[in-house]
Amino acid sequence: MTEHPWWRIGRRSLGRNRRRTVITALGLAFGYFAVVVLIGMMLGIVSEMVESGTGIVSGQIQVHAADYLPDHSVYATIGGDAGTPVGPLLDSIAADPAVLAAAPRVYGGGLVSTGSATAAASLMGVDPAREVRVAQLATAIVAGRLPRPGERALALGAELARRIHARPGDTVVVVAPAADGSLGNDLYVVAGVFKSGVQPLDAGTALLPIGVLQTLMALGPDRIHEVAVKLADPYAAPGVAARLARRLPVAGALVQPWTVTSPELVEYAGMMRASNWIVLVVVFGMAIFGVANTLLMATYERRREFALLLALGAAPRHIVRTVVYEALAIGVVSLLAGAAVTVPVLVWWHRAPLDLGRLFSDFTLAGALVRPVLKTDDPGAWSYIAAAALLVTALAAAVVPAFRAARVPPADTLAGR
Amino acid sequence: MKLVLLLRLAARNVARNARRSTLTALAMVIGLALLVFSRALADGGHEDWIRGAVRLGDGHVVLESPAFARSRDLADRLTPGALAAAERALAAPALRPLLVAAAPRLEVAALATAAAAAVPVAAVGVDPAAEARFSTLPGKLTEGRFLAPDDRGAAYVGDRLARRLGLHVGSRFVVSAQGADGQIADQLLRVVGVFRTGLPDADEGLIQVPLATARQWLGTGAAATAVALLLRDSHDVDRAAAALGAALAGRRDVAALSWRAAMPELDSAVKLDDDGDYLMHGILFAIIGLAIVNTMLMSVLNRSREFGILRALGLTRGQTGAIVFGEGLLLTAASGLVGLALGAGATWLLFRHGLDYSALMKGNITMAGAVISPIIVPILGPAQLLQSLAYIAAVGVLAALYPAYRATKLDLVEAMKFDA
Amino acid sequence: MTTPPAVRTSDVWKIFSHDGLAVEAVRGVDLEIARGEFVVLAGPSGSGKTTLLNMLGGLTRPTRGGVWVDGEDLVALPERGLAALRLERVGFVFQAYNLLPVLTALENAEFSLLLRGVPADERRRRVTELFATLGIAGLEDRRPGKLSGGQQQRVAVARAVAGEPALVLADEPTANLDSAASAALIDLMATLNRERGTTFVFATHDATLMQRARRLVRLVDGRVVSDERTG
Repeated sequence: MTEHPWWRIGRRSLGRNRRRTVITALGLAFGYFAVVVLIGMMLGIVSEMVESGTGIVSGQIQVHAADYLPDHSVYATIGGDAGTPVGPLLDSIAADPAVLAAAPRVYGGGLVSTGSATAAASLMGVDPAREVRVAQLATAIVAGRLPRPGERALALGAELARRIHARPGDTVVVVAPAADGSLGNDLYVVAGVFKSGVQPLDAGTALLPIGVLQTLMALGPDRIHEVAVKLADPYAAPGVAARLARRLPVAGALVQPWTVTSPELVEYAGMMRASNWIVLVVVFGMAIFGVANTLLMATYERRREFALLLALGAAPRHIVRTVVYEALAIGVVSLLAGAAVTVPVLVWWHRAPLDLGRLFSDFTLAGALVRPVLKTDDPGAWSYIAAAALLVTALAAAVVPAFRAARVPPADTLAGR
Repeated sequence: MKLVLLLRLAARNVARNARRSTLTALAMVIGLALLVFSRALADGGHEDWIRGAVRLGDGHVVLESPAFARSRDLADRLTPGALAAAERALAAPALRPLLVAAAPRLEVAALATAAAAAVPVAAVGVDPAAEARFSTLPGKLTEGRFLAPDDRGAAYVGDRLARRLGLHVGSRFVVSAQGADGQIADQLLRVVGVFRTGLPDADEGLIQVPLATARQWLGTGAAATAVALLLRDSHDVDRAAAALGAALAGRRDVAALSWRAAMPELDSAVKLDDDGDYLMHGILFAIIGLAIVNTMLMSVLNRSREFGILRALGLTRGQTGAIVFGEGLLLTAASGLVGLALGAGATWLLFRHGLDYSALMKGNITMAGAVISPIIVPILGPAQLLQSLAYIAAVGVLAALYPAYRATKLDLVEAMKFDA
Repeated sequence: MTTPPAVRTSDVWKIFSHDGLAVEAVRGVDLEIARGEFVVLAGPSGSGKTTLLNMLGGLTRPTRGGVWVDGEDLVALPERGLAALRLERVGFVFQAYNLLPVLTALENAEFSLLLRGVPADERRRRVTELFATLGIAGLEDRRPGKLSGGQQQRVAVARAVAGEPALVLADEPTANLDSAASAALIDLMATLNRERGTTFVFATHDATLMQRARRLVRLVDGRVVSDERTG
C-alpha cells in the first residue's frame, strides 16, 4: 500500500455499492456524451453552412474591382474600363498552394422569354470548365448540360425553367441592357437545367458562357466583374486572401474572404460558440446536483467508517481527501465510459449522418442553406473542455459531502448515536 | 382507507427527512424552472420570427388559387369572382375577432432597369392603407415615405436595389414583366420611399407599387394574386384556416393556405429549433431522473430497519412499495408546484421586458425569411406550463418506480438485523 | 526515572445535555492504571464505562477534572494533539465496525503504522508476526466482508497492538461473538498482555471477560463502587 492510503480508500469505495456507483457514473457519462455529440452536431451544422454559404456559388474568396460592391455596377470591371488579361489573372491566383480553383464571372440582368412566357433573371457569364471546380451550382445539373464555351446556349434554374415552360433544346430570347447603353438581345438554346436548392438561384438565374454574355452586354473579353476562388480549407480564407492581394497582377482590385463578404455567417458561427458554452454549463450544472446528492447520502451512510478513521488518529483533512478522491475516481470512470461511447458515435454520424430530410425541409439561415442532415464534426478542443468540465463537476459535487464527512463526531457515531 | 394511511406515512417520511427530501426536490425544482424559462423564451422567439416573417411575407394565412401556389404565374391569379368570394369569407363573424388585417396583393416577377443596370425583382401591387396595418415594411422606411392611397406610378424600393440602380427619392426607373395578355409590358415608376429590412432578398429584390398602378400596368382588371391575412395570434392559424376553408368549400379557384404550407422553410426552422430544445430537456431530465433514482434508492436502503418494523407490524410488501412510491409522488408534486412558480415567476419578473442578447449578436441574423431580433420577450402560455409540469411529473414518477420496487423486495429478517 | 502510569484520572466528570436535561454519565472518577495491567471496567448499561473509556482515549473531552495518558495531559491537548495521541499511543478495539471494509485484513492491521510512516517491510513484519500469534495467519488478503466476527476482532486487536501503544482500550470486544470465539479472543489478549506487557483496559458486561480480569473496577451510575485486584 502506498504511503498515503487515501487514494486507495477513495478509489475502492466505488466498489462498496456497485449499483449506486453505476447509476452515478451513468449520469455523468451520459452528460458527457450528450454535450460532446450535441456540440459535434452544431459544429457540423456551421461547417455545412459555411460550405453551402460559400460553396454553392460565391466561393470562399472573391476578387472584384474596388468599386464593384455594393452597387454591382456593370461598368466596374476588374482593372477598370480597360479590364485585365483574364488568363494571367486566373493563373496568378491558382498558383497559390491553398487555392483549389478560380473562376471568372460576368454579371448582368435581363428578361428571358420563350414564346409563351417571360421572366426576369440574373445573367451569369461563366467559364464552364473552371466553374464546375469552384461552384456547386455548376454541378447541380438535373437535365441536359452546361453550355460549352462560345456556344450560344444557357442553363436555367429549375424554377425559372418551369415558369417560362422551357426545356433543354428549346430556344429562348434574352434581352439585357448593355454597357454601351443599348439593349442587347439574342437567341439562345437551353442547354440544361440546374437545381441548387437555393430559391433565388433556382428561380432567377441563368448561366451563359462568359464570352457570349460579354458579347451580349457589349463588354470586351478582358472585362470581368468577379473571380470566385475555392479553397481546400474555408477557414484559411482570411490569410489566403491577404496573400493573394499582395501578388495580384492588377491594380485597384479587392480580394475579400467570405468572412468579410458574409458577416452574417461569421456572426452565426460566433453565436454557436456561445451556445456551446451554455449547453456545457447547463448540462454539467445539473449533473453536479445529481452527484452531490448521491455523495452526500453515501458519506452519511459511511459515517462509521469516517469515525473509525478519526478514532485511529487520521486528521479531518484526510477524510476530506478520501471523499474527494472517490469523486475523482467516479469522474475518471464516467469519463472513460462516456468517451468510449462518444467517439464511435461521432465517427459514425460523421461518415453516415442522420438524415432528417423526411421530417424537416431545407431552410436558409444567415444566408446559407441548412439541410437537416446531422453530420457531426470533430469537436476538437470541446471534447477536452467537456472532459475537464466532467471532472470539475465530480470534484465540485464532492466539496460539501467531504467537509461534512470530516465533521463526524467519532465517539457518538461509533457508539451508534 | 388503507391508502390514506399509506399516504400519510409517506408524507411523514418526506417531512421528517427534510434535508434529504430537499436535496432530491431541489434537482427537480431547478430542472423545471429551467424548462419553464427556456420554453417561454423559445415560444417568445418563435412568435417573433413568425410574426416578422409573415408580416413581410404573405401573412399567417393567405387566400390564393391553389394553382398560383404552385406556379406563381400571373395567369393563375384570383379572378374578380374569386376575389369577391374571398372577401365574403373574410366577413364571417367567426373570423372577425381573430383578424388584424387583410391585404390584397398583385404580385409579378419583373425586371427593374435604370441606366445600364437590370435587376430581377418581385413587383407587388398593394393597397397602401391595408398594407400599413398588415406589414412591417412601411416601418422600415429610411428615406422618403411609404405609398399613399392616391399615389399613381409610385414605387417603394429596398435600399440595396436603390443603390444598384442608382436611385434616390424622386428618381424614375422602368419595370418590365409579362402581363395578363402574355405580352411584355413596361411601366415607368417614380421612387417615393426607400426601405431597409436587413434581409438581402427583400432589400434587393422587392418593390411595392399601388395596386391600381399594378392592375393598370399588367392589364388584369380588378384582380389580385393573393389576399394576405394577419391574425392576432399565430396560434389561431389552424382555426382561421379551417373556418375559411369551410366558407370557401366547393370553389376550386381560391383556397386558404396557412403559413406553414406557404413558407415551409420557416416551418422547418421553427420545428427544428423546438426539437433541439426538446432534446436538451430530454437530456437534462435524464440526468435529473438518474439522480432521483439514486437518492431515493439510497434512502430506501438506509431505512431498511424502519421498513422491517413496518412489515413486522403487518404491512405487506406491496404496501411498503406504495409508501416509497407515495414519497416520490409527493416530492414530485411539491417540486412541480415550486418549480413552476419559480420558473414562471423568475421569467416574468426578470425578463418580461425581454431578454436582450445583442451582446452575443452584433449584426443581424436572418433565418428563413425573418430577421432574428436580439430582444426576445418570453411568452408564458398556460398550455406550455401544464406541459412542462406534466413532463417533470413523468420523470419523477418514473424515477420513483425502481426504488419502490426495491422496497417491496426487502427481506424482513435481514432488515431487522442491520442497524440502520 | 519512573515511567508514568498508563492512565490517571482525577475527579473526572462527563455531563451530557440532552434536550435541556443534564445527564451525568461519569461522576468524579479517580483512577490510576499502571503499565502492563489487565483491567476490566464493569457495570450495567448506563454505568458510564463506555464514556469513561472514550475519555481515556481522547474521543470525548471531560466536563470537569483531569485525564492523563502516558503522562500526557489530555485536557490541555488541542484536537490535533488528541489525534496524534490516538495514532501513536492508544489502540482501540470496538464492539463492531472495527475495520475499513474496502481494505484487506493486512491493510487494516498496518493502517496506524502506515500513518506513522513506518517503512513497508517493517510494517509487514510486525503484522505478520501478530497474525501468527493471533491465529489468523493466511487471512492477510481477505476483506472484512469475508471474515467471521471472531476473525475481524482479531484483526482489530492486531491493529491496536501493532504500534506498541501505551494503552489498548477495548469497548465490549466480545459482545458480538459466540462463547467459543469470545473465549479465544480473551485468551489471545491475555497472551499479548503477558508476552508484550501491553496495557489493556476493557469496558464490558461479559461475565467471562470479567472473570479473566486481573483487576476489576465496578461502576454504577457513573461512580466507581469497587476496585479489586484478583490474582
